[in-house]
Amino acid sequence: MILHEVYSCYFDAVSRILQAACAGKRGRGCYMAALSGLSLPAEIQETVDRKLGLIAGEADSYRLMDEGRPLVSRCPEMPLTLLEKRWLKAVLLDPRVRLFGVSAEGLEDVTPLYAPGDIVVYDRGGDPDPWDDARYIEHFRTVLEAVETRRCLKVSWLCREGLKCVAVCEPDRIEYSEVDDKFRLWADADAHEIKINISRIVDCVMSDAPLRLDLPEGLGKTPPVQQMREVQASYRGNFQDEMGDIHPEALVIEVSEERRALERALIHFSHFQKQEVEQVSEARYRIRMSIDADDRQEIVRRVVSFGPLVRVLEPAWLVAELRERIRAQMAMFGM
Amino acid sequence: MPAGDTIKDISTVREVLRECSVFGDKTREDFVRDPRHELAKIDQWLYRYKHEFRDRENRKHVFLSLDARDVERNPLYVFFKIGRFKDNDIRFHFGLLDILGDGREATLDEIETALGRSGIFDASNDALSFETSILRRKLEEYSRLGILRNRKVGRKYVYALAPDVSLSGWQPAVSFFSETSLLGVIGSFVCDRIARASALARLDSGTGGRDAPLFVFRHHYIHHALDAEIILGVLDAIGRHCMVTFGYLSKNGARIEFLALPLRIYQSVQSGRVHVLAWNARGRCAAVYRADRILDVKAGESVAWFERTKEAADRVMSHIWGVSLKDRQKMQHLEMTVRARYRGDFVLTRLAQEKRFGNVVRVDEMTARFEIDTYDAMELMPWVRTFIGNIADIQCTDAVFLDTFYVDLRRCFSMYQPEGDVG
Repeated sequence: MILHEVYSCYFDAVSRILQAACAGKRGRGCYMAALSGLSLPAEIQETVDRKLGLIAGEADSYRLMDEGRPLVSRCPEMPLTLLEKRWLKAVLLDPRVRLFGVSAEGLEDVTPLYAPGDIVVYDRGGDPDPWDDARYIEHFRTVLEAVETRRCLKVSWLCREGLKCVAVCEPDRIEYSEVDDKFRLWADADAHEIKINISRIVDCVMSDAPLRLDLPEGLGKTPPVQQMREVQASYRGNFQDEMGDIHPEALVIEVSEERRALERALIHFSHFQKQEVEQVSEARYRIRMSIDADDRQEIVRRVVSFGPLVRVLEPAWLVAELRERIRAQMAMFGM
Repeated sequence: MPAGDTIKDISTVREVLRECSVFGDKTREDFVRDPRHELAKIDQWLYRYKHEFRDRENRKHVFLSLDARDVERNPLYVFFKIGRFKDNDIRFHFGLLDILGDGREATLDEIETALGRSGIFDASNDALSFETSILRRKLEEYSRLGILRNRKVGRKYVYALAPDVSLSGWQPAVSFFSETSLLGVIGSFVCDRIARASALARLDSGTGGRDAPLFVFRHHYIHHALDAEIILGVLDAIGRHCMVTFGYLSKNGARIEFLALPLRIYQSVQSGRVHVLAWNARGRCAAVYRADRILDVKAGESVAWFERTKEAADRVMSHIWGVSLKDRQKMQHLEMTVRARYRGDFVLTRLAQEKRFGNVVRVDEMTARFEIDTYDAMELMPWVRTFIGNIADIQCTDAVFLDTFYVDLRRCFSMYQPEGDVG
């Protein structure tokens, strides 16, 4: 059973406050600090705070505190439940766990929650990152440490064209694509936003050198980060930078209800931020959503996979790309 | 705990989100008339991700949408963290941790006495008292959960806190797998514990802030999070080779029940859908069921023929492109020749990467041929279309497939003519 009070945000919040209080950290300020990072949206955290006002203040509702003093003498961490231990043990059987170097200590006698073959992912890309490769693991861990500690990295990598690129960059986060089964480093380098496939890294070390980005001749840089943010904030159409890269902001499609295409499209595109949906005729709906610049090739494929059930209205470059592809295909078939 | 801030079970939330969403059969107005409706609660938790539109009859439809890359944690996990409980539950919880927190063992009687002395409970006040039978049930429940361990000494059980696991060094792994694992909600509970330790360590050291997010997820579907109880029940049955009774929402919206032997779970990372492959006892054949339409799972007896049945189903699934098992009387053959339009065109690499159980033969530097034998060629249609513009030739033993492909291509052509009309 997963829905159980021992996992609830209320127990979590009370545990934080009691642990702080038992350690002598008392008072509203301490309790609020103990609640920082509670994994809940701000709106819900407000509700929790309000409930905890009863505990931190008058101690009536749960009777675990009295006038700000805990009625318990200690508040140890609750041991992990069997469900949590079994989940961790299942994680240990995943090939990607090698990247993290975690210990199985304490889980030796635990039965995994499921075996790797119990769950089949049948439509993942066939070229995952090399989870077994020692160099790859070393690079991943260096990148992860840099992201965790907010230290700068000097990275050299091979771009798709096989050319070597070098950057001293400020790591932001690690992106994981569930479809491609690949990790990329997001970083800022010399005011340019870069995304580097970790499997393409040749070398990476921590660095205190000034930020820089050295790309071979002919390779475009994304616009400076600040400029991009301003563009994103003010522009709702297409944006083409000085290097010719196109940064579409909105994808507008019309979807038919035929063959349950509306349902499929809304699920298929559900991880993009939708801005509006409008019924434009008896069986057609118009959907506007935000897409990211580096989704370009992927969006072409995803839209065309729906055939005539999805029609793209914007951006113009995508309409042109689809028109060109379809014309080329008709010509290849002599139609 | 007031009922307004908590939920009794997850099934109501699943029902509302399934039926009230754009692809459900109901609109918000239908649910407002329903006395059990939980719309307000769902709105409260999810309003940031909830979108609405009105159809031509002015009926309001709802759907969830978010830019996955802006979301640190799956927002649907919150529904597993607002389970309903009584005030005594929280008193017992922290009272037990206090009494057993020094590592000692105690009998029920000793725990009862200690709780009575703690000041948390008050025997003279009905609202703050408890019965021994309730404490016994609570101790049994915590033992089942693995929070307590017990052993018999003489005629009595003694209880102690179960051995814990050090989570040192686990934080990045748990952050990652709590989003990518099908049962990631359980990992999110572990994340909560790590975050709690971090917050208290910062409080100790006098530093503020919070742990910065490490990962961002692309192609991240969140909907299956609400099916976690179902998926857990299915995985449990698979692990124990158990028959189950599924409560299932049929296509016409009626609840049906049937006996089945779950064999595997099939997950799509391209659509977010989750299906259960199971042997259906009545039809005596393998079938695939959508996890979001399974209403409940009741475990039955284990069977000795699990492995044999799974192997037979696997043989069929090895010729299924996706999860469609509807027609497997005859194998269909599909061939597609793909031509790169320029040197360095990624299309041939992609063909090789995405071929699944098909074969790819390189014809020349610019051309490759894909071949596959499958029970349902129509399942390949969306993928085949992604090669439009590069398909030199396509052949299929299923005439319906080819007809649909060509008709759709012509429709696309007229759709994207500059002066063309919609559809």
